Amino acid sequence: MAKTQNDPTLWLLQSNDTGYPSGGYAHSYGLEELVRAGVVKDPESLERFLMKQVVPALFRFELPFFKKAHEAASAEDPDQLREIDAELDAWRIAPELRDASRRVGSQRLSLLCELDDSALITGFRKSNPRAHHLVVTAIELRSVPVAEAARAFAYQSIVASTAASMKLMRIGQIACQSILHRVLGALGSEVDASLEREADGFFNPLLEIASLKHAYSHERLFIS
Amino acid sequence: MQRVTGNSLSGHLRLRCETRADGVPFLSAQSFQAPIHLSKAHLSDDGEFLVLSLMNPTAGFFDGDRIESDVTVGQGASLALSIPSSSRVFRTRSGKPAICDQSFSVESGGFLEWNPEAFIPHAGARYIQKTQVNIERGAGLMFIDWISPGRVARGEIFQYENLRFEFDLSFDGKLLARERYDMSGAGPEGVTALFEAGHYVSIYLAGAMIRYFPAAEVDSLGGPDAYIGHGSLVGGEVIVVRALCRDNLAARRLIGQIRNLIYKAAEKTPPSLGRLFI
Repeated sequence: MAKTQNDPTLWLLQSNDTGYPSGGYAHSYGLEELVRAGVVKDPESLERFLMKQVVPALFRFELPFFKKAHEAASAEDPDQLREIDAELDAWRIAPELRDASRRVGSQRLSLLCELDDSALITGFRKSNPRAHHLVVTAIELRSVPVAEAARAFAYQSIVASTAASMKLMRIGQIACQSILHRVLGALGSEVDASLEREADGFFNPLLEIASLKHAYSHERLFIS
Repeated sequence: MQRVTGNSLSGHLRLRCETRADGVPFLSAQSFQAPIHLSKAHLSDDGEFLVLSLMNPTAGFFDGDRIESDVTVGQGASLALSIPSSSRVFRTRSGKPAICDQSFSVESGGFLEWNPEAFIPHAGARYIQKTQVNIERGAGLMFIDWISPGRVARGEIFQYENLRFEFDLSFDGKLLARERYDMSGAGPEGVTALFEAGHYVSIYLAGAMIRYFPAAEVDSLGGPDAYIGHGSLVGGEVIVVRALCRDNLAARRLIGQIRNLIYKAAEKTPPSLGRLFI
Protein backbone atom coordinates (compact mmCIF):
# COMPACT_ATOMS: atom_id res chain seq x y z
CA MET A 1 0.00 0.00 0.00
CA ALA A 2 1.24 3.52 -0.81
CA LYS A 3 2.26 5.62 2.16
CA THR A 4 0.87 9.12 2.53
CA GLN A 5 4.42 10.37 3.09
CA ASN A 6 5.57 9.58 -0.47
CA ASP A 7 4.78 13.05 -1.81
CA PRO A 8 3.71 15.27 1.09
CA THR A 9 2.55 18.16 -1.11
CA LEU A 10 0.26 16.05 -3.26
CA TRP A 11 -1.05 14.32 -0.13
CA LEU A 12 -1.72 17.71 1.46
CA LEU A 13 -3.78 18.68 -1.60
CA GLN A 14 -5.69 15.40 -1.65
CA SER A 15 -6.53 15.37 2.05
CA ASN A 16 -7.83 18.96 1.95
CA ASP A 17 -9.79 18.64 -1.25
CA THR A 18 -13.55 19.14 -0.98
CA GLY A 19 -13.93 15.64 -2.44
CA TYR A 20 -12.10 14.08 0.52
CA PRO A 21 -14.98 12.56 2.52
CA SER A 22 -14.56 13.90 6.03
CA GLY A 23 -18.22 14.43 6.83
CA GLY A 24 -17.45 18.02 7.74
CA TYR A 25 -20.25 19.30 5.52
CA ALA A 26 -22.78 18.06 8.10
CA HIS A 27 -21.47 20.36 10.85
CA SER A 28 -21.74 24.09 11.46
CA TYR A 29 -19.93 24.01 14.85
CA GLY A 30 -22.44 26.35 16.49
CA LEU A 31 -22.93 28.70 13.53
CA GLU A 32 -26.47 27.47 12.86
CA GLU A 33 -27.55 28.55 16.35
CA LEU A 34 -25.77 31.90 16.02
CA VAL A 35 -27.70 32.52 12.81
CA ARG A 36 -30.90 31.64 14.65
CA ALA A 37 -29.94 34.06 17.44
CA GLY A 38 -29.43 36.82 14.87
CA VAL A 39 -25.76 37.28 15.73
CA VAL A 40 -24.68 36.15 12.26
CA LYS A 41 -27.14 37.31 9.64
CA ASP A 42 -25.33 38.69 6.60
CA PRO A 43 -21.89 38.69 4.92
CA GLU A 44 -20.58 41.43 7.22
CA SER A 45 -21.53 39.65 10.42
CA LEU A 46 -20.21 36.34 9.05
CA GLU A 47 -16.83 37.92 8.40
CA ARG A 48 -16.85 39.52 11.83
CA PHE A 49 -17.69 36.15 13.41
CA LEU A 50 -14.78 34.50 11.62
CA MET A 51 -12.31 37.30 12.35
CA LYS A 52 -13.29 37.91 15.98
CA GLN A 53 -14.33 34.46 17.17
CA VAL A 54 -12.97 31.68 14.98
CA VAL A 55 -9.53 32.99 14.03
CA PRO A 56 -8.52 34.10 17.57
CA ALA A 57 -9.49 30.66 18.91
CA LEU A 58 -7.26 29.09 16.27
CA PHE A 59 -4.36 31.31 17.28
CA ARG A 60 -4.82 30.91 21.01
CA PHE A 61 -5.67 27.26 21.30
CA GLU A 62 -6.22 25.09 18.23
CA LEU A 63 -2.96 25.75 16.38
CA PRO A 64 -0.59 25.56 19.37
CA PHE A 65 -2.40 22.37 20.42
CA PHE A 66 -2.17 21.07 16.86
CA LYS A 67 1.57 21.60 17.01
CA LYS A 68 1.78 19.34 20.07
CA ALA A 69 -0.18 16.65 18.26
CA HIS A 70 1.91 17.05 15.12
CA GLU A 71 5.11 16.64 17.12
CA ALA A 72 3.76 13.47 18.70
CA ALA A 73 2.64 12.12 15.33
CA SER A 74 5.97 12.97 13.70
CA ALA A 75 7.74 11.17 16.55
CA GLU A 76 5.39 8.20 16.01
CA ASP A 77 4.39 8.40 19.66
CA PRO A 78 0.90 6.87 20.03
CA ASP A 79 0.86 7.20 23.83
CA GLN A 80 1.36 10.94 23.59
CA LEU A 81 -1.33 11.13 20.89
CA ARG A 82 -3.76 9.29 23.14
CA GLU A 83 -3.02 11.71 25.98
CA ILE A 84 -3.59 14.70 23.72
CA ASP A 85 -6.81 13.17 22.42
CA ALA A 86 -8.12 12.63 25.97
CA GLU A 87 -7.16 16.15 27.04
CA LEU A 88 -9.11 17.62 24.13
CA ASP A 89 -12.30 16.25 25.69
CA ALA A 90 -11.72 18.49 28.69
CA TRP A 91 -11.11 21.57 26.54
CA ARG A 92 -14.22 21.04 24.44
CA ILE A 93 -16.85 21.76 27.07
CA ALA A 94 -19.93 21.67 24.81
CA PRO A 95 -20.89 18.05 24.04
CA GLU A 96 -21.82 18.79 20.43
CA LEU A 97 -18.42 20.34 19.73
CA ARG A 98 -16.74 17.29 21.27
CA ASP A 99 -18.93 14.95 19.31
CA ALA A 100 -18.51 16.84 16.02
CA SER A 101 -14.76 16.78 16.46
CA ARG A 102 -14.83 13.02 17.10
CA ARG A 103 -17.24 12.27 14.23
CA VAL A 104 -15.11 14.10 11.69
CA GLY A 105 -11.96 12.64 13.19
CA SER A 106 -13.26 9.07 13.08
CA GLN A 107 -14.35 9.42 9.46
CA ARG A 108 -10.97 10.80 8.44
CA LEU A 109 -9.17 8.12 10.44
CA SER A 110 -11.23 5.39 8.83
CA LEU A 111 -10.34 6.64 5.36
CA LEU A 112 -6.72 7.16 6.35
CA CYS A 113 -6.49 3.51 7.31
CA GLU A 114 -7.63 2.59 3.81
CA LEU A 115 -4.94 4.77 2.27
CA ASP A 116 -2.00 4.13 4.56
CA ASP A 117 -1.39 0.98 6.60
CA SER A 118 1.42 2.42 8.73
CA ALA A 119 1.72 0.87 12.16
CA LEU A 120 1.07 4.26 13.80
CA ILE A 121 -2.24 4.72 11.99
CA THR A 122 -3.60 1.20 12.35
CA GLY A 123 -2.48 0.97 15.96
CA PHE A 124 -3.92 4.35 16.87
CA ARG A 125 -7.22 3.59 15.20
CA LYS A 126 -7.47 0.34 17.11
CA SER A 127 -7.18 2.15 20.46
CA ASN A 128 -8.92 5.43 19.47
CA PRO A 129 -11.39 4.79 16.65
CA ARG A 130 -13.27 8.00 17.50
CA ALA A 131 -10.26 10.29 17.78
CA HIS A 132 -10.57 14.06 17.59
CA HIS A 133 -10.33 15.79 14.22
CA LEU A 134 -7.31 17.79 15.36
CA VAL A 135 -5.37 14.68 16.33
CA VAL A 136 -6.27 12.77 13.18
CA THR A 137 -5.27 15.70 10.97
CA ALA A 138 -1.94 15.86 12.80
CA ILE A 139 -1.42 12.15 12.05
CA GLU A 140 -2.52 12.56 8.43
CA LEU A 141 -0.12 15.40 7.85
CA ARG A 142 2.81 14.23 9.93
CA SER A 143 5.02 14.11 6.82
CA VAL A 144 4.20 17.75 6.03
CA PRO A 145 6.11 20.52 7.85
CA VAL A 146 4.08 21.73 10.84
CA ALA A 147 3.69 25.26 9.46
CA GLU A 148 1.91 23.92 6.35
CA ALA A 149 0.03 21.22 8.25
CA ALA A 150 -1.29 23.81 10.73
CA ARG A 151 -2.43 26.03 7.86
CA ALA A 152 -4.31 23.07 6.41
CA PHE A 153 -6.04 22.41 9.72
CA ALA A 154 -6.92 26.10 10.10
CA TYR A 155 -8.23 26.15 6.55
CA GLN A 156 -10.48 23.16 7.27
CA SER A 157 -11.84 24.93 10.37
CA ILE A 158 -12.67 28.17 8.56
CA VAL A 159 -14.04 26.57 5.42
CA ALA A 160 -16.41 24.53 7.57
CA SER A 161 -18.06 27.79 8.65
CA THR A 162 -18.14 29.45 5.23
CA ALA A 163 -19.53 26.30 3.62
CA ALA A 164 -22.22 26.02 6.30
CA SER A 165 -23.09 29.70 5.97
CA MET A 166 -24.27 29.21 2.38
CA LYS A 167 -26.95 26.84 3.63
CA LEU A 168 -27.94 29.04 6.56
CA MET A 169 -28.31 32.53 5.12
CA ARG A 170 -28.50 34.54 1.93
CA ILE A 171 -24.93 34.61 0.78
CA GLY A 172 -23.47 33.70 -2.60
CA GLN A 173 -20.35 31.81 -3.51
CA ILE A 174 -18.47 34.93 -4.61
CA ALA A 175 -19.22 36.76 -1.36
CA CYS A 176 -18.21 33.65 0.56
CA GLN A 177 -14.95 33.28 -1.31
CA SER A 178 -14.17 36.98 -0.82
CA ILE A 179 -14.70 36.63 2.91
CA LEU A 180 -12.65 33.45 2.98
CA HIS A 181 -9.85 35.16 1.11
CA ARG A 182 -9.70 38.06 3.56
CA VAL A 183 -9.93 35.79 6.59
CA LEU A 184 -7.17 33.53 5.28
CA GLY A 185 -5.09 36.64 4.63
CA ALA A 186 -5.45 37.64 8.28
CA LEU A 187 -4.78 34.09 9.38
CA GLY A 188 -1.68 33.47 7.31
CA SER A 189 0.30 36.33 8.75
CA GLU A 190 -0.04 35.02 12.31
CA VAL A 191 0.07 31.23 12.03
CA ASP A 192 3.82 30.96 12.54
CA ALA A 193 3.73 33.14 15.66
CA SER A 194 0.87 31.11 17.10
CA LEU A 195 2.87 27.91 16.68
CA GLU A 196 5.50 29.34 19.03
CA ARG A 197 2.99 29.77 21.88
CA GLU A 198 1.74 27.36 24.49
CA ALA A 199 -1.85 26.25 23.92
CA ASP A 200 -4.21 28.49 25.85
CA GLY A 201 -7.95 28.95 25.89
CA PHE A 202 -10.08 31.62 24.25
CA PHE A 203 -13.02 33.20 26.04
CA ASN A 204 -16.04 32.73 23.81
CA PRO A 205 -19.13 31.89 25.86
CA LEU A 206 -21.42 32.92 23.02
CA LEU A 207 -20.27 30.20 20.63
CA GLU A 208 -20.15 27.68 23.46
CA ILE A 209 -23.72 28.45 24.53
CA ALA A 210 -24.84 28.39 20.90
CA SER A 211 -23.41 24.91 20.59
CA LEU A 212 -25.00 23.81 23.88
CA LYS A 213 -28.39 25.11 22.72
CA HIS A 214 -28.09 23.54 19.29
CA ALA A 215 -27.97 20.07 20.87
CA TYR A 216 -31.61 20.32 21.97
CA SER A 217 -32.90 22.65 19.29
CA HIS A 218 -36.29 21.64 17.88
CA GLU A 219 -35.25 22.15 14.29
CA ARG A 220 -31.82 22.01 12.77
CA LEU A 221 -30.07 21.46 9.49
CA PHE A 222 -26.65 20.48 10.82
CA ILE A 223 -25.52 17.82 13.29
CA SER A 224 -23.61 20.46 15.26
CA MET B 1 1.07 37.32 61.98
CA GLN B 2 -0.35 39.34 59.13
CA ARG B 3 2.06 39.42 56.23
CA VAL B 4 2.04 42.80 54.55
CA THR B 5 4.27 43.32 51.56
CA GLY B 6 4.35 46.95 50.50
CA ASN B 7 0.72 47.73 49.85
CA SER B 8 -0.36 44.15 49.26
CA LEU B 9 -1.68 41.35 51.41
CA SER B 10 -1.02 37.66 51.32
CA GLY B 11 -3.85 35.71 52.89
CA HIS B 12 -5.30 32.26 52.94
CA LEU B 13 -8.37 30.19 53.67
CA ARG B 14 -8.28 26.58 54.75
CA LEU B 15 -11.48 24.77 55.57
CA ARG B 16 -12.53 21.23 56.13
CA CYS B 17 -16.18 20.34 56.65
CA GLU B 18 -17.13 16.96 58.10
CA THR B 19 -20.07 15.42 59.90
CA ARG B 20 -20.40 14.61 63.57
CA ALA B 21 -21.51 11.15 64.66
CA ASP B 22 -25.13 12.37 64.59
CA GLY B 23 -24.77 13.50 60.97
CA VAL B 24 -24.63 17.24 61.64
CA PRO B 25 -22.01 19.01 59.49
CA PHE B 26 -19.33 21.07 61.21
CA LEU B 27 -15.99 22.67 60.44
CA SER B 28 -13.33 20.25 61.62
CA ALA B 29 -10.57 22.64 60.56
CA GLN B 30 -10.48 26.29 59.69
CA SER B 31 -7.78 28.84 59.18
CA PHE B 32 -8.00 32.20 57.46
CA GLN B 33 -6.03 35.36 57.13
CA ALA B 34 -6.85 38.77 55.61
CA PRO B 35 -7.96 39.68 53.04
CA ILE B 36 -10.37 36.85 53.84
CA HIS B 37 -12.71 36.82 56.79
CA LEU B 38 -15.21 34.13 57.72
CA SER B 39 -18.65 34.50 59.21
CA LYS B 40 -19.75 32.19 61.98
CA ALA B 41 -20.99 28.97 60.47
CA HIS B 42 -24.63 28.09 60.95
CA LEU B 43 -26.93 25.26 59.95
CA SER B 44 -29.63 25.61 57.34
CA ASP B 45 -33.21 25.44 58.61
CA ASP B 46 -33.46 21.74 57.81
CA GLY B 47 -30.08 21.05 59.41
CA GLU B 48 -28.68 19.50 56.24
CA PHE B 49 -26.22 22.22 55.19
CA LEU B 50 -23.52 24.10 56.99
CA VAL B 51 -23.73 27.67 55.68
CA LEU B 52 -20.70 29.90 55.71
CA SER B 53 -20.08 33.38 54.30
CA LEU B 54 -16.70 34.59 53.12
CA MET B 55 -15.95 38.28 53.22
CA ASN B 56 -13.19 40.53 52.13
CA PRO B 57 -12.77 43.08 54.94
CA THR B 58 -10.73 45.34 52.69
CA ALA B 59 -12.52 47.00 49.78
CA GLY B 60 -11.43 44.24 47.42
CA PHE B 61 -8.34 42.93 45.68
CA PHE B 62 -5.44 45.29 45.13
CA ASP B 63 -2.45 44.67 42.92
CA GLY B 64 -0.04 42.21 44.48
CA ASP B 65 -2.68 40.76 46.81
CA ARG B 66 -2.60 37.00 46.92
CA ILE B 67 -5.11 34.57 48.36
CA GLU B 68 -4.71 30.83 48.57
CA SER B 69 -7.81 28.81 49.41
CA ASP B 70 -8.18 25.14 50.11
CA VAL B 71 -11.67 23.88 50.90
CA THR B 72 -12.49 20.21 51.48
CA VAL B 73 -15.88 18.69 52.14
CA GLY B 74 -15.66 15.26 53.72
CA GLN B 75 -17.87 12.23 53.27
CA GLY B 76 -21.52 12.88 54.00
CA ALA B 77 -21.08 16.58 54.82
CA SER B 78 -22.89 19.40 53.01
CA LEU B 79 -21.37 22.88 52.86
CA ALA B 80 -22.79 26.02 51.27
CA LEU B 81 -20.14 28.69 50.83
CA SER B 82 -21.38 32.14 49.94
CA ILE B 83 -19.60 35.38 49.13
CA PRO B 84 -22.40 37.81 49.96
CA SER B 85 -20.77 40.93 48.51
CA SER B 86 -19.27 41.40 45.10
CA SER B 87 -15.57 40.67 44.68
CA ARG B 88 -13.81 43.71 43.31
CA VAL B 89 -10.40 44.02 41.76
CA PHE B 90 -9.04 47.54 41.65
CA ARG B 91 -6.84 49.27 39.12
CA THR B 92 -3.28 48.04 39.36
CA ARG B 93 -0.83 50.69 40.48
CA SER B 94 2.36 48.67 40.28
CA GLY B 95 1.43 46.67 37.19
CA LYS B 96 1.24 43.49 39.29
CA PRO B 97 -1.92 41.40 39.25
CA ALA B 98 -3.91 40.30 42.26
CA ILE B 99 -3.85 36.51 42.47
CA CYS B 100 -6.46 34.09 43.76
CA ASP B 101 -5.43 30.44 43.84
CA GLN B 102 -8.29 28.24 45.02
CA SER B 103 -8.82 24.54 45.40
CA PHE B 104 -12.06 22.72 46.24
CA SER B 105 -12.38 19.01 46.96
CA VAL B 106 -15.58 17.10 47.64
CA GLU B 107 -15.36 13.54 48.89
CA SER B 108 -17.86 10.84 48.06
CA GLY B 109 -21.23 11.55 49.69
CA GLY B 110 -20.24 15.15 50.38
CA PHE B 111 -21.82 18.24 48.81
CA LEU B 112 -20.48 21.72 48.09
CA GLU B 113 -22.31 24.79 46.91
CA TRP B 114 -19.97 27.62 45.92
CA ASN B 115 -22.02 30.71 45.34
CA PRO B 116 -20.21 34.04 45.10
CA GLU B 117 -21.74 37.37 44.21
CA ALA B 118 -20.56 39.04 41.02
CA PHE B 119 -16.89 39.47 40.27
CA ILE B 120 -16.37 43.12 39.31
CA PRO B 121 -13.11 44.07 37.61
CA HIS B 122 -12.49 47.82 37.78
CA ALA B 123 -10.87 49.81 34.97
CA GLY B 124 -7.16 49.04 34.78
CA ALA B 125 -7.43 45.92 36.94
CA ARG B 126 -5.08 42.97 36.59
CA TYR B 127 -6.15 39.69 38.12
CA ILE B 128 -5.29 35.99 37.94
CA GLN B 129 -7.64 33.33 39.28
CA LYS B 130 -6.66 29.67 39.34
CA THR B 131 -9.33 27.18 40.36
CA GLN B 132 -9.02 23.45 40.86
CA VAL B 133 -12.17 21.46 41.63
CA ASN B 134 -11.85 17.78 42.53
CA ILE B 135 -14.94 15.70 43.10
CA GLU B 136 -15.18 12.04 43.89
CA ARG B 137 -17.84 9.74 42.49
CA GLY B 138 -20.97 10.18 44.58
CA ALA B 139 -20.17 13.76 45.53
CA GLY B 140 -22.58 16.62 44.86
CA LEU B 141 -21.63 19.99 43.46
CA MET B 142 -23.12 23.34 42.56
CA PHE B 143 -20.25 25.58 41.55
CA ILE B 144 -21.23 29.06 40.41
CA ASP B 145 -19.13 31.78 38.80
CA TRP B 146 -20.48 35.18 37.84
CA ILE B 147 -18.29 37.68 35.99
CA SER B 148 -19.51 41.20 35.35
CA PRO B 149 -18.07 43.52 32.72
CA GLY B 150 -17.05 46.10 35.33
CA ARG B 151 -18.65 49.07 37.07
CA VAL B 152 -21.35 49.48 34.46
CA ALA B 153 -23.14 52.34 36.22
CA ARG B 154 -19.92 54.38 36.01
CA GLY B 155 -19.48 53.51 32.36
CA GLU B 156 -16.58 51.19 33.11
CA ILE B 157 -17.41 48.35 30.75
CA PHE B 158 -14.67 45.89 29.88
CA GLN B 159 -12.00 48.41 30.83
CA TYR B 160 -9.87 46.08 32.91
CA GLU B 161 -6.28 45.68 31.83
CA ASN B 162 -6.03 41.92 32.02
CA LEU B 163 -7.95 39.07 33.59
CA ARG B 164 -6.74 35.51 33.51
CA PHE B 165 -8.91 32.60 34.60
CA GLU B 166 -7.63 29.06 34.82
CA PHE B 167 -10.10 26.34 35.76
CA ASP B 168 -9.70 22.55 35.99
CA LEU B 169 -12.42 20.18 37.13
CA SER B 170 -11.60 16.55 37.83
CA PHE B 171 -13.98 13.70 38.60
CA ASP B 172 -12.49 10.68 40.36
CA GLY B 173 -9.06 11.91 39.30
CA LYS B 174 -9.96 12.29 35.63
CA LEU B 175 -9.81 15.75 34.08
CA LEU B 176 -13.25 16.62 32.70
CA ALA B 177 -13.07 20.36 32.12
CA ARG B 178 -10.18 22.66 31.41
CA GLU B 179 -10.68 26.36 30.79
CA ARG B 180 -8.10 29.05 30.20
CA TYR B 181 -9.22 32.59 29.54
CA ASP B 182 -6.89 35.51 29.10
CA MET B 183 -8.89 38.67 28.60
CA SER B 184 -7.55 42.09 27.91
CA GLY B 185 -9.25 45.44 27.58
CA ALA B 186 -11.72 45.67 24.70
CA GLY B 187 -14.83 43.65 25.39
CA PRO B 188 -14.76 40.00 24.42
CA GLU B 189 -16.67 39.48 21.17
CA GLY B 190 -18.11 36.29 22.64
CA VAL B 191 -20.08 38.49 25.06
CA THR B 192 -20.52 41.85 23.35
CA ALA B 193 -21.86 40.39 20.11
CA LEU B 194 -25.03 39.67 22.08
CA PHE B 195 -25.01 42.06 25.03
CA GLU B 196 -22.86 45.20 25.05
CA ALA B 197 -22.33 44.96 28.80
CA GLY B 198 -23.13 41.30 29.25
CA HIS B 199 -22.62 39.31 32.44
CA TYR B 200 -21.23 35.80 32.22
CA VAL B 201 -22.58 33.01 34.41
CA SER B 202 -21.17 29.50 34.66
CA ILE B 203 -22.56 26.72 36.85
CA TYR B 204 -21.11 23.23 37.20
CA LEU B 205 -23.40 20.59 38.70
CA ALA B 206 -22.74 17.03 39.80
CA GLY B 207 -24.10 14.20 41.90
CA ALA B 208 -27.54 14.64 43.41
CA MET B 209 -27.88 17.99 41.64
CA ILE B 210 -28.14 16.30 38.23
CA ARG B 211 -29.91 13.08 39.08
CA TYR B 212 -33.10 14.68 37.75
CA PHE B 213 -31.70 17.65 35.89
CA PRO B 214 -34.64 19.89 34.90
CA ALA B 215 -33.35 20.54 31.38
CA ALA B 216 -36.55 21.94 29.86
CA GLU B 217 -37.19 24.25 32.82
CA VAL B 218 -33.63 25.58 32.81
CA ASP B 219 -33.82 26.12 29.06
CA SER B 220 -37.09 28.01 29.44
CA LEU B 221 -35.31 30.64 31.56
CA GLY B 222 -33.67 31.95 28.40
CA GLY B 223 -35.15 34.95 26.59
CA PRO B 224 -34.33 38.48 25.54
CA ASP B 225 -32.31 39.09 28.72
CA ALA B 226 -30.52 35.75 29.03
CA TYR B 227 -28.91 33.45 26.48
CA ILE B 228 -28.55 30.10 28.17
CA GLY B 229 -27.34 26.62 27.32
CA HIS B 230 -26.51 23.43 29.18
CA GLY B 231 -24.88 20.10 28.49
CA SER B 232 -22.85 17.25 29.94
CA LEU B 233 -19.11 17.06 30.22
CA VAL B 234 -17.47 13.94 28.85
CA GLY B 235 -18.76 10.85 30.70
CA GLY B 236 -22.04 12.51 31.69
CA GLU B 237 -21.16 12.81 35.40
CA VAL B 238 -21.11 16.63 35.40
CA ILE B 239 -23.45 19.10 33.75
CA VAL B 240 -22.46 22.64 32.90
CA VAL B 241 -24.88 25.53 32.54
CA ARG B 242 -23.63 28.67 30.82
CA ALA B 243 -25.40 31.95 30.31
CA LEU B 244 -24.88 35.45 29.05
CA CYS B 245 -27.14 37.99 30.71
CA ARG B 246 -28.04 41.50 29.63
CA ASP B 247 -27.24 43.07 33.01
CA ASN B 248 -26.69 42.33 36.66
CA LEU B 249 -30.38 42.09 37.46
CA ALA B 250 -30.87 39.48 34.76
CA ALA B 251 -27.82 37.56 35.99
CA ARG B 252 -28.94 37.65 39.61
CA ARG B 253 -32.45 36.59 38.69
CA LEU B 254 -31.20 33.75 36.50
CA ILE B 255 -28.81 32.38 39.13
CA GLY B 256 -31.58 32.44 41.73
CA GLN B 257 -34.03 30.70 39.42
CA ILE B 258 -31.58 28.02 38.34
CA ARG B 259 -30.54 27.42 41.94
CA ASN B 260 -34.14 26.93 43.02
CA LEU B 261 -34.91 24.63 40.08
CA ILE B 262 -31.88 22.46 40.71
CA TYR B 263 -32.48 22.11 44.44
CA LYS B 264 -36.14 21.34 43.86
CA ALA B 265 -35.31 18.66 41.29
CA ALA B 266 -32.84 17.18 43.78
CA GLU B 267 -35.65 17.16 46.36
CA LYS B 268 -33.70 19.44 48.67
CA THR B 269 -34.48 22.79 50.21
CA PRO B 270 -31.95 25.40 49.12
CA PRO B 271 -30.15 26.72 52.18
CA SER B 272 -30.77 30.40 52.81
CA LEU B 273 -27.60 32.36 52.11
CA GLY B 274 -28.99 35.55 53.61
CA ARG B 275 -28.80 37.25 50.23
CA LEU B 276 -31.28 38.70 47.81
CA PHE B 277 -32.28 36.60 44.86
CA ILE B 278 -34.87 38.06 42.57
